[in-house]
Amino acid sequence: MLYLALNLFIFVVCSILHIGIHRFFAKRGIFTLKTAFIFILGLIVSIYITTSLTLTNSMSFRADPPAGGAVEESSRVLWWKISRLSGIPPDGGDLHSSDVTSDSVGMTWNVSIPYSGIIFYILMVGVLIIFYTTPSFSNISPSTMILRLLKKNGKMSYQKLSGYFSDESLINLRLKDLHQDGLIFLEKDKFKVTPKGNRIVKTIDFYRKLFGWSVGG
Amino acid sequence: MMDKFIIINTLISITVYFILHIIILRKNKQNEIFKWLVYLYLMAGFSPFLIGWRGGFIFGSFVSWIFYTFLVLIYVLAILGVMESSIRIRLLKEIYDAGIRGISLKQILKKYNKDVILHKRLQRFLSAGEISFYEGKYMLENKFTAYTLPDLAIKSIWKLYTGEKL
Repeated sequence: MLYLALNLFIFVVCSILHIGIHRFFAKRGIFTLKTAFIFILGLIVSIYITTSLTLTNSMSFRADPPAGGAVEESSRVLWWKISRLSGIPPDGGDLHSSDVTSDSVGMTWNVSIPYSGIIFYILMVGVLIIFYTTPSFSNISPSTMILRLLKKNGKMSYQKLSGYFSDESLINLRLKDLHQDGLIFLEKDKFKVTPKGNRIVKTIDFYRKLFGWSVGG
Repeated sequence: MMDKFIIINTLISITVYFILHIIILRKNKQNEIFKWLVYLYLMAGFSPFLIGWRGGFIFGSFVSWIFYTFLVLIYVLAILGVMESSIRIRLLKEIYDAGIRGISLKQILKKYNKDVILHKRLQRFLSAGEISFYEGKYMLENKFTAYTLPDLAIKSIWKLYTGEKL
């Protein structure tokens, strides 16, 4: 639990710093994903603190068993339970079923999970980056726009709904993005796919074949 | 030890999710994808607890379930969402299909335009029961839709980052 809380704290600190950095650059008209590198720094800090704490815990247990006893005891009980499930006898074999009560591990919240803490941090950053990049890369998606319009106006006919959209906003802007990203190029008023775009389409085709789906969009 | 249990349990859950995903979504229509994604998440979401309950690792199972939820969220938003509904990807596919001769904007708009985009999305919402169509008009079925939470998250994050409403 300690490691999860620690990584949550590092994540919150990094997010606040990221907001500050984003605003600093945005004021100067610079929008870049490179600001997200602050989270790499957070990951390094997380790994450093986690490793230090794990080492300190294991050293204090060796020097003074009662100091790290709770964590180590949990590990012993856990190993005993896994051994019992898998049918493999535990190392040492000095722990008997009478040592393990029904609630000794299952509901224990102070079990040491250092690596899970780091994974927790990485997953939180992943989700934040997705939510952070969505509006800046795709403006507002037409699906979100439809739902917002229906929420605001109640009932709407197709004609009224479609009045809020245009080919310029839905198609042309995205074609410009594809061009800027180097996925397509324009030659004599005709759009063609670059080798990079080619690779992306082939990957997507493979994915679609896996599910037996037709073209999306 | 608990770390290994959590990591292995999460990997098992996400593998179950993908296996069910391939089997079930192959047999179902694309425009019913919303409701099947929720069912899939719930179905595979049981696996961390099934394994944990047997061994009595409730806390580990709970952490595994959180990790599993994060992974499903990342997959749905960053991969599935892009593959299934991205306009950019569809445009890229149209241009790719045209081959070395290429395709003009006019030709693209004949095949793929705002009407195609809107009809596809409205059909998807109707199949998922998010909206209804009555007397020639569309309306929301519930105030709370599958988009509500992600939309709220995007709006809040945008407000935090820019200080402006999205």
